[in-house]
Amino acid sequence: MRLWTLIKQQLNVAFSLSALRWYARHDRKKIAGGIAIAAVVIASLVPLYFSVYLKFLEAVFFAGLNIGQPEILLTLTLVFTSFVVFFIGIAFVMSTFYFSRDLSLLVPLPVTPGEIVGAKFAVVLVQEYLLVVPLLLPAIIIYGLHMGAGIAFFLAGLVVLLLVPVLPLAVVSAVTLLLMRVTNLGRYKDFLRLVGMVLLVVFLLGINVLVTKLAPMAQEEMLALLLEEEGLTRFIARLFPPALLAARALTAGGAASVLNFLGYLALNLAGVALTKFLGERLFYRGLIGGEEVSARKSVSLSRLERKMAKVSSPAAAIAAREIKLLVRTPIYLFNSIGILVIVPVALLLPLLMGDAVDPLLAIFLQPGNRFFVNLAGAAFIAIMGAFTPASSSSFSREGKQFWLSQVIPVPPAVQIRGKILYSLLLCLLAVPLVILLSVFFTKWSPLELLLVIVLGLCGCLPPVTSSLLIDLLRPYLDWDNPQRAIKQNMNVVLGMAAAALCFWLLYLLGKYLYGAGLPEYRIYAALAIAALLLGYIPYLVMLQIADRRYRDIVSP
Amino acid sequence: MIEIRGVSKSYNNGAVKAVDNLSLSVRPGEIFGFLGPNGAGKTTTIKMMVGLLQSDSGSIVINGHDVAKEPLKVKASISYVPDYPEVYEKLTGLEYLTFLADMYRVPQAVRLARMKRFLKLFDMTDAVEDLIQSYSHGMRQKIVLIGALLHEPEVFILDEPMVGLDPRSAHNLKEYMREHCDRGKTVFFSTHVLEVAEKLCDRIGIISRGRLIACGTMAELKEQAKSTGSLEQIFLELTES
Repeated sequence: MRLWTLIKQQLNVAFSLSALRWYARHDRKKIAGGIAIAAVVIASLVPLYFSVYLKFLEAVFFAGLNIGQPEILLTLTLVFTSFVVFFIGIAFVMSTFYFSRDLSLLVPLPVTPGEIVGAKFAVVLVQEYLLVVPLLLPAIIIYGLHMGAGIAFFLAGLVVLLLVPVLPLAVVSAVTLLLMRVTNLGRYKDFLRLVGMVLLVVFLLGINVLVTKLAPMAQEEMLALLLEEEGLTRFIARLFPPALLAARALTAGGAASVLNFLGYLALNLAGVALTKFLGERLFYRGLIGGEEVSARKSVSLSRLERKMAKVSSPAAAIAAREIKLLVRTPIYLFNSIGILVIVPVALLLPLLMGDAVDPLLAIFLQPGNRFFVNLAGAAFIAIMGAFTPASSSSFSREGKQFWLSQVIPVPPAVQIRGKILYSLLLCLLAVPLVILLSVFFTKWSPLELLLVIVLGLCGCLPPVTSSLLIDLLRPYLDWDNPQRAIKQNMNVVLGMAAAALCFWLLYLLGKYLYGAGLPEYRIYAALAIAALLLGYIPYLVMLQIADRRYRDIVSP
Repeated sequence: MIEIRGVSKSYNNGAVKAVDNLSLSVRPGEIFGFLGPNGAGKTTTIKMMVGLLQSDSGSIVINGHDVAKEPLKVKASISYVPDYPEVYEKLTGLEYLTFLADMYRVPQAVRLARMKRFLKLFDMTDAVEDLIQSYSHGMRQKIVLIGALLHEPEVFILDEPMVGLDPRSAHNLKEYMREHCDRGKTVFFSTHVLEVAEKLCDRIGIISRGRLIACGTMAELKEQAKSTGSLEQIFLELTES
């Protein structure tokens, strides 16, 4: 009963249900604005969703049907969705369990740690459904319609859909509870936790590659996979074996369906029980102590004086503040910089371990393709820049501390320059990756490397300034855990959409100039200038509106 | 000095009038106490003074500069301590102070001397290298106070500054406020601690439902309220309705 009350309260807070009801009565404009922006984002994704994802699902179904294994579609989407839940869940679980502001209210209540973990688990679960439904539901419908399935299939499909995120989240929760317990080690705990999160992702990617590498590569074995009943399905399900139970629950029919379903259900319940068990025993031990002061060192006055006397310009001081806050907040760091580690690892692992891609790489790296390789290197830096949500959440992350930015006597334009400086510094982190790429694969000359880096950094400017502009226009300041400022912030999606638009315009320009037969160096120069211009426009707009926005934004 | 002229502020599209045609002035060298029941409009007024809220009408002039027209000049000459010290938890106290010193462009030698003085005054020297997230409410309040004093503001604006402070720090703050005003500067603060207001303030304003219902020295307030009692009795009588 108490758990249910907690769950209701947590869902209310997480989805701002009371606030929405209040706005619906008192300030409908605000609700309408939010709906309009959500509609724009959804409308911009719908064409991609229909033209790419749904068509892909159809193609998978018919490919499976042709080899007599139509259930491949379900297995593949079940595995894929489980992985998505897992990856997204890592940061979700950690921030919701351990960094919510309401923990100081919940912990003193007469509830067990397991109940708090249960309520927080429910919040993350509901949030994950927002991903699971669009990913999995179409696969169930496509399979059901094409196979002429009855109502029982669709009902079972719905139950399976509801169960899908439970087990991956339970595993993430269990690992997080353990991680937070063992890393609750005083002043280095934030760093250790970040390393733990990144290692977890890298470990998962490693398993993924390893399992794929274990695949029988001989032609006859591959043929056997295709011909054998459920061969390919079982092969795919090696990545996440419980998915096989779920797929069989939907497709096997009769008693086999029921048995597989019961097995799948039992696994999920076991996952929840494990989370509850670990929650009861480990949650407080990973949480409490996190805010205690480490034993005071004796303060050296001369050292203090040296630090006190350090003077910086306002823009540099703001950039330094942003970097310190980012580096010391594991959730920000994981989301902003973690991507710079995870994406290259995801790209490099198959390249390093696989041989299937070697011929493709060889073609790509042929001397005649140098121009495209250089552009691809620059695009890599720019895209990495666009992927880090550092600028698209720059104002939002200030949250309840935004009042400080409003009362200091530093022109908003200078503060914005500080934020741009900081975002570009983060983009620089992609440079070592490009150097590694050069060492292992592309073998750029120093001049080419310089060109790639300069062009890439120019390409970073449009995503940085356009994302900052979006966040300045609608900062999300009233958040209760840092994850909400950076991941559940529509500005991050809008920022990526703006970056995609800028990149598309640059691509069109490059394509046009290449088609017109311009020398390569001129195309590089034109692209660099165009990128700087594209980045400068949002900056100019920010300068125009900054004073007004800093005055009008109501700090929570 | 502070000149507030006919300032109003409403919320919910005019449904709630937080501040209603408020006018008052505070002279240089004066400690002004701003009193009122919960929800009377004290914080809204203070937020308008420091540029965190925009007034619907009227004007606020601080040190000769209109808050709406020359906000940066106003901000450079004031300091604000909010009622709840929301500060960067992942910075150390020292990093927060140097950040503010950079923002207010406090010269190196001056910031060094003031930091040392105020850290000692508020007994924060030993904790200044710890992350603010490890501070108690009172310590956060003290680090915000120190940050607000680094550029020696002409006008020091505080919203409920005594909340969370230990008795010694509260005493030191009151002493400093008097010293600050003795140098010809101004202090404007809101409080619910009427004894503090009575003993410390040169003049007091009482706001209720967004309107200034009384303003003046203790003697003038007694006269306005036709009372010979304490500030508490005057406050209760004036805000009763």
